[in-house]
Amino acid sequence: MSDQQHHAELAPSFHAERRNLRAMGMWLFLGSEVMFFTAFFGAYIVARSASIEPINHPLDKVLGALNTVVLITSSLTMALAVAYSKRGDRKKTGLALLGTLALAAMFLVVKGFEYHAHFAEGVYPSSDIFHGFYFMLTGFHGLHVIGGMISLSILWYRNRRGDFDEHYCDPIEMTGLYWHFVDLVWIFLFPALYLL
Amino acid sequence: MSEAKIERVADFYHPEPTDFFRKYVWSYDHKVIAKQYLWTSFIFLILGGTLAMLLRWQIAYPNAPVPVLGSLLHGMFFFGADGSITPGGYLELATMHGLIMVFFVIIPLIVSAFGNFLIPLHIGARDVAFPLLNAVSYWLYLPAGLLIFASFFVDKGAAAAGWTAYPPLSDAAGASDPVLGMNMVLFALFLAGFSSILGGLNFLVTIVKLRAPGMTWSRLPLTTWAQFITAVFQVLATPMLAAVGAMLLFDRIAGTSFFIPTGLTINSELVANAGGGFPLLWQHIFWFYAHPAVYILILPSMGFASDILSAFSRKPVFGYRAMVISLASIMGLGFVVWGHHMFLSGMNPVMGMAFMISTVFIALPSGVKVFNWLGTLWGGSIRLQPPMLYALSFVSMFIVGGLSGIFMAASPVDIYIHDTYYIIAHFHYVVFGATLFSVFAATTYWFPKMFGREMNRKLSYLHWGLTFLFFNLAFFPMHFLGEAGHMRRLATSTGYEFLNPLAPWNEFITLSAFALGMSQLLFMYNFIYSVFAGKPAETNPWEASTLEWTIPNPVPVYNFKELPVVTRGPHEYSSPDTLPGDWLPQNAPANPSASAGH
Amino acid sequence: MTRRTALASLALLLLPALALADAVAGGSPSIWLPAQVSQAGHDIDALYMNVMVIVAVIFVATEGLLLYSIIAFRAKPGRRAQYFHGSTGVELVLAAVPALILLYITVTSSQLWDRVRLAPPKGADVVHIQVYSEQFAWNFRYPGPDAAFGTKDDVMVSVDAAVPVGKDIVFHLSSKDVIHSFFLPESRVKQDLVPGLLGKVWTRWDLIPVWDLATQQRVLLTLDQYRAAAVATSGYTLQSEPNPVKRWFQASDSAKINYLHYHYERDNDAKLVVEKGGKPCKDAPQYVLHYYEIGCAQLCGNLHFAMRGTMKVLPPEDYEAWLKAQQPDSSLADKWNGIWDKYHPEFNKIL
Repeated sequence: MSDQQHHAELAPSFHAERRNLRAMGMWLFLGSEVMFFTAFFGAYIVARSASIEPINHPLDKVLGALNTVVLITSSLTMALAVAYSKRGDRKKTGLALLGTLALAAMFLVVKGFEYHAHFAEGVYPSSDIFHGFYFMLTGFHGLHVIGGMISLSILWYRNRRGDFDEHYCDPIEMTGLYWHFVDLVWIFLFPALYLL
Repeated sequence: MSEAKIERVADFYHPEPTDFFRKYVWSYDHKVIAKQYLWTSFIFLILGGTLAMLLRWQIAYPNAPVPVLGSLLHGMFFFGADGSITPGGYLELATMHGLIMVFFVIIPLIVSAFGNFLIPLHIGARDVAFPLLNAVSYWLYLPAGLLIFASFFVDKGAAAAGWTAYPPLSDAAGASDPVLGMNMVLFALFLAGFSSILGGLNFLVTIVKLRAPGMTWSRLPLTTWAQFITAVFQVLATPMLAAVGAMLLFDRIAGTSFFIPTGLTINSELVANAGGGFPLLWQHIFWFYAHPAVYILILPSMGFASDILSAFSRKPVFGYRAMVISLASIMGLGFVVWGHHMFLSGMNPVMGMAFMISTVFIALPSGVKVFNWLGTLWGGSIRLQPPMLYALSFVSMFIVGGLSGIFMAASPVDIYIHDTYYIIAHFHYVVFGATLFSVFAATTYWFPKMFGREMNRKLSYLHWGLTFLFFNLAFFPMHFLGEAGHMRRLATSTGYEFLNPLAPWNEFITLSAFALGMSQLLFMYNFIYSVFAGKPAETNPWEASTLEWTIPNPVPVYNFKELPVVTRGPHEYSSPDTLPGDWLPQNAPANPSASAGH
Repeated sequence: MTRRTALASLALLLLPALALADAVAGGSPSIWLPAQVSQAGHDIDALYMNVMVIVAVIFVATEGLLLYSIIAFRAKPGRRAQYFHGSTGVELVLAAVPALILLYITVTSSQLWDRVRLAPPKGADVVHIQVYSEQFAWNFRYPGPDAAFGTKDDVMVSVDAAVPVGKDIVFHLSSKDVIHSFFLPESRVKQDLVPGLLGKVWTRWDLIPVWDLATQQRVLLTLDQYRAAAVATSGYTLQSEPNPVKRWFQASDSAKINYLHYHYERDNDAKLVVEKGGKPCKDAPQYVLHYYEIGCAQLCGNLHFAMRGTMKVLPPEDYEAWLKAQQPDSSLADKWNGIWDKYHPEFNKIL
């Protein structure tokens, strides 16, 4: 049974309560994701502090900074999507979702350029331990971006179909929480990998 | 229910499906999902137990052809051409026995099967918070299990580096490395871990948000409290396993060197990976997960034991609040003791000191729980029915397993007994003696509610007696082996002079283990027969007071016709207001003279 | 059904009972710690016994209470259970007393841990030996007269090592391939050898293991006792024969219980060397020089079970002679120079 069919039979109080449950579920899921990335960050920190050779900043800081700006902006558009959807403004919600999608796609394109440049130089995850961590961390982050984009696409489609209104926009809110988390991970990744 | 708008989440339930697929395969009903987990885990229990029997054969009769199975399967899997178990095959058996038992038997049984069935019933809800996610969790676990099973059949066999998979052995160990098998195991763990995380968060939201009116935190059955604390462990610790497993997989597939130091040379060849990595990194991150995992293996069973001991002593649990505080302390401390698996790993000995302190003190909350179980029995009116016998054995063997743990916590002693049979004895007492016995207790106790029938009591008594006897005969002598210095994971001990005097013990243990294995046939027969043709059970055969016993068997899809209003604690047996009987259900009206139970 | 199952279970019971009887009849299997032979071993065993006493008391008390309760408080018609939720006083006492006991265990363990792991012996009299484990052998390197590792006078041996009696020995541990564990059971020495990491364990042996030819048992001699006796250092080999009894439930002819009897026998192909008081002697030997076994205690691959070594303990003059008698081996030298020295020269520092 989909949300659509239930919609007619469910009172607003039900939606409010279920939104509350889903929010708690999403926060817990994000908690587990934090632990997931913490394991990598912890390992990276240990490896960095134990390694004898200095890192020669082999990453392109400009592209990294660009991606940071792109992702932060996408968090803004995502927040807008949530706000518009809570107001019941279907058109603006759709635009904001598209904007987020576009920015996410841009992030991946820039990342793709970076990876391509590395591979062209013969630098792979196996080249040395720094690049092992770099590809691992950005790779999993990228997978999470792709997952978010799939969700955003589905949301855009459902929004167009008229599934959401001011009483019921849980999926957009939950995806918003997730998307801010993805952005937050990058905000840690960027200085850890590119700057320090 | 279809006329008026549904106001509250608690009122909602998915109606009963009519087709076989939605009823038994892709079901949103927590009770059906629980049974899916139950059956699947029991099948894996048979597989894991068989692997153990095979490796015990090799230990007792080194290089002797295995009867029956050896001649049938010679040259395949772990068998050599003559039907005996090869050294590599032995390691495969030991590794897969551990992996299957931990991830595909115990955790799914005590958390996913019993947790799923009981949590909504115990809190007075119609289902868990996210029924769809619940179904997804099972359908992540089953493919993971099939992947593990399939890993036996690929070239070079299944994983063979121990369930702890320490690199570099699990990473780049040369020609004998089971390339595909180990990778399959890592994928399977990823899937099973994801299933576990989703299940844990489902239970957390359920317990926090869907309790019936009047079901305050201090009126929760201890089973529910234990599941709650376990779910916190699951959500926070399991991702670490996913992360470190991914790193190992990258090392194996993508040639990274997270765990491979520079200059690693296997046979005479320098390993192709670039180097610069740290083998101990695996151990730290793995044990950061795996130590909480062993608490996941014991906490739910402590919950079962508490509720069952109380119901069959006809008195409240002694020190309910202390029990909850102990559960929470075990959770808190459980995150900072992981280094006690690494006292001898080469890690900085100063860290060893720190971990020793936290490890010794985590014995305290477990000790408090043991005293409280004893206090629950004291002054009771004890009914020695099968669930109670199993629960009492749980306490008895948890005492042994817990006390043997103190030896290892004292790190200088661990220098001697680490990686010996002493450790094997310790964890089998806790995981088999305690947890598996509590599974038997929970199964016999909740069987009437799950299946609407009774298990045969005489068979249960017999199974209990034989299992208790043979379990102790098989595992207690392992303490002696450990004291003598018998190392772990030895395909045969014939090469060492100092181990030779221990050979009779090895044979004794193996024979007891075979008898133990055979005794489980009784339980299997009892369980399967009773599911289909057992005597129909009454609603509350044990006169227990928790909410699941107030509804008919088998439980209807909506659980409670009307959501209960809870007025009393879960273990209020023999309270004065239960007179003339000795119990009332948790949702009995506040003025019991209107309708007393019994 | 029940009677048959009961009989079947009785039959099952016979098997382990038979095995136990066998074991007891064949020679008593030990249920206690084997005797320790090194300096740290004494302290570790003492700690073990302390914990054992505490654990035994708790075990008897709790299991006893459990058993007592089951019997004393079993359901009787007309009897009602006592209704109480607990007692804060009892709880506090039952938490405080174990806490104090655990504190005692922590303190004594910390002190010992400090001695065996945090305070290596120092000084010129300490013997340093590098241990390099590989699949599936133990390699040892001695620094030689210049007391420095990685130089031309280093002595390299494999599998069978020797140390001088009565001196502090520090082992520097690392591994060439996977993680192994350096385990000397009777000496209570154990530590993982991790590739890329240098570990250190230390101990001292004050007694020399020899084999008494009269009783065919291993005995431990002090240095003076050793010098006073005639000891064969070569010309004897250790033989074993399996206990030839085959039990009725054993699967095949080859599956005899691997309960071996050991004895030293004169090997006529080898030259007989007997010494007494540090000099060659023509007397019939009373003892044969024996050793401590080294085992691998961390899963390291398919032949993990076969990774055995030996550690001889020698009088100082014999030790020097043994060092001088070792022949250089180019494949061993390749491992040490080509891998240990090349990738981890910092491991060669003796601090």
